[in-house]
Amino acid sequence: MNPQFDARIRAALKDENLHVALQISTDRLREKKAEAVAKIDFEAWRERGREIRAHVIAHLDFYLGQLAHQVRERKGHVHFCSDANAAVQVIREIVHMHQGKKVIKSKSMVTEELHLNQELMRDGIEVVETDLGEYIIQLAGETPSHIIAPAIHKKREQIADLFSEVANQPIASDTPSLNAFAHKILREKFIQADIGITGCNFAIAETGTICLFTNEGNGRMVTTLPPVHIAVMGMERILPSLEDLEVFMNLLPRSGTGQKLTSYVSLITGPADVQELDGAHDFHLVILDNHRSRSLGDPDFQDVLHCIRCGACLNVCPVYRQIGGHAYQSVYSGPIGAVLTPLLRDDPEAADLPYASSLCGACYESCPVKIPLHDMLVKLRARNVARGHTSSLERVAFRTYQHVFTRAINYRLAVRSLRTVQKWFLKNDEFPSSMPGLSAWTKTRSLQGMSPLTFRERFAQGLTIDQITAQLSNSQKGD
Amino acid sequence: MNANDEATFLSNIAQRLGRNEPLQVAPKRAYRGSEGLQHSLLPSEITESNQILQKQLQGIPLSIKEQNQLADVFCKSLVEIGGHAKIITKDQVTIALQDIFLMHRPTSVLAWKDPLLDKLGIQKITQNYSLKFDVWSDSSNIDKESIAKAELGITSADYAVAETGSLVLIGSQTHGRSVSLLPATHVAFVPLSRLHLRAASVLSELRTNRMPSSVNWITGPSRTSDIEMDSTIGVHGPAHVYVFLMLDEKDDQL
Repeated sequence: MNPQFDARIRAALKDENLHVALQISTDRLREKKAEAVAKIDFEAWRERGREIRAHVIAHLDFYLGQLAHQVRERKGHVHFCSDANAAVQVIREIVHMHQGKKVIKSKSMVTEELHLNQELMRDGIEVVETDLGEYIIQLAGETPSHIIAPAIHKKREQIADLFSEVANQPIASDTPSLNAFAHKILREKFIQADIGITGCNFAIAETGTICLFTNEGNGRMVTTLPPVHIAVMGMERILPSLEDLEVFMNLLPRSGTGQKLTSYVSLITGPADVQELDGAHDFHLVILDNHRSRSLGDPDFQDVLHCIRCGACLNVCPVYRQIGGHAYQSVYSGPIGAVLTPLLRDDPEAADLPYASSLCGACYESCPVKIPLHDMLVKLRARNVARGHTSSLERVAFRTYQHVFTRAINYRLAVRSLRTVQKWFLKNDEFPSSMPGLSAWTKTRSLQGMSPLTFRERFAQGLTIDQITAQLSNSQKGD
Repeated sequence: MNANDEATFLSNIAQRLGRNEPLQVAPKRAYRGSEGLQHSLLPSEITESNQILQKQLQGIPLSIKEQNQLADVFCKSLVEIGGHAKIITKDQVTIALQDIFLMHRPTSVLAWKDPLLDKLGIQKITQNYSLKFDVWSDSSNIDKESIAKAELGITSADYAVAETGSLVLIGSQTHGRSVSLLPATHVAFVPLSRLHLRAASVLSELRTNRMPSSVNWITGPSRTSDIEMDSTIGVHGPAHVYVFLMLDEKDDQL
């Protein structure tokens, strides 16, 4: 594992505030999800969700073509962008064409991939995140630490400090005061804005409709008040027909926040009609590949494109629950991030993420579209080995392991010699934490010494449990 | 620029999926949407709700009894998530609105231009209470600043969904999207006949017509849990949602 990742994990593990915040929030989300899914025959809905997503991804060329056609039929503009730079360029041009100065955004993970805010702000454009959690982390100059609860790591006192700085006067840290302040300041931003940018939870190919699931109402504000709406979507975010939406109205909110349905589901089809007095009158859909297509046609990883970004796998992951989202240093964290990031971003830093997992399979269990994330994590590790990304020490270790465990004579020889050698190192039957050559394991875990008698030896002697125990204690005294 | 070309984008996807060129014909599907999926866990309820669902998918009107059943489910669902719901007749509209005026003390009201609201006499009731009253389609009076000041929004709804307690609002020239969004309190009057059990039949009905530019599903008040997972209402959208399910005049006589 590279030293920076290691250092981020260590820092996260030492952060008391983060621990408390993560535990409270992930537990709460997990409990609410359990309650919400118990109210329907969730397994049947989950299987249908998987089928629909698998069908779309296997026929993505058709559905993307249909979607683009339908959006244009409705006088919307469609932009296909192969990577982040292309998408930023397109969005920048739209903003300039409308002489946009003030941009408001509703929560969108895909625009995090583009570093869109920084890019637009560099042009002197004001960009304001309007989801409360996103607004908080924008003020703090941070990135989201959870797919659906971006400010999960922030304590209310920290939020009050951030707001007080904006207000230039103290803002109390109780929820109603913080809420009221955000309402007031963001309401002005909504009214003044000239461009609205949203993500896209689902796009319906058959009708050219963009679906946004939100709770605060900012997604509605962003698509209703400014004259221009730019929706940015990962290219995989499609459903074939409007009827399919009911399946995901059941899967996404229940899995994400444990709600039966989010407060708002907005279906936007093209720009507002000419006679309408509100709603954006210019609509742009930006469709982004950004290396997603690498996983298409790959039998090991194509299913990762089924993801609906609910965040359920984060809440159940024993690693995410300890280290939080920032340690991953990737737009997507948790199990889905550990799989998706190395697939989207082919760099050594990303290649380390699949090791941030215990392979327990809780992510798969919680996934509303049954993505086998735990299998993918193993396959990504195997890919690292095949590509020679692993350390020479690890390669030697596994070659030795193979050598020892594939021939009985080698195994017996190794056991005998190890038993002789270990006497020089053992303290209280354990290898010490600073054991040379083993310290990567022993500094955080205890490694027991080998038993003085192997199973084969005991079996040959026909000893009872009591006799073995007696022998063991004698041998210890002998040392 | 070539890399951004739509044809290149789509043919890359087709090639990755093992095709020479992008698929042009709609692929066959085993299922469409939620076809055959049950909602309720109680077997007795499944039979009954299945009958209602099937009727609604085929566009067959429900019996008065079935409508009332849905109305009860709707009220329960909406109250569960912090909204208010009541089944009333036309005669009770004045009192219902006055209660809300007393409770929230708005100074200005913004309403859809809508035949049902006209018939219920919303404008008169509001003005009798000496509140400023704006109707959405009077475009000359309406600008962002002034609609942003309205404290109470009155709409109808094109559909309501019982199982989730949702309102479904289609935006148009007379049915502004902002009316149900900007004011802190949202009041909706919905004829009982527009109630559906599940989203399924609403979606299939929407699909048969030209898709409206905006369809907003509203399920209870605006909420957030972004501050230490502490759930709170009204961060951007309305904090208070009142839904009055209207018994038809012909139903009143029953």
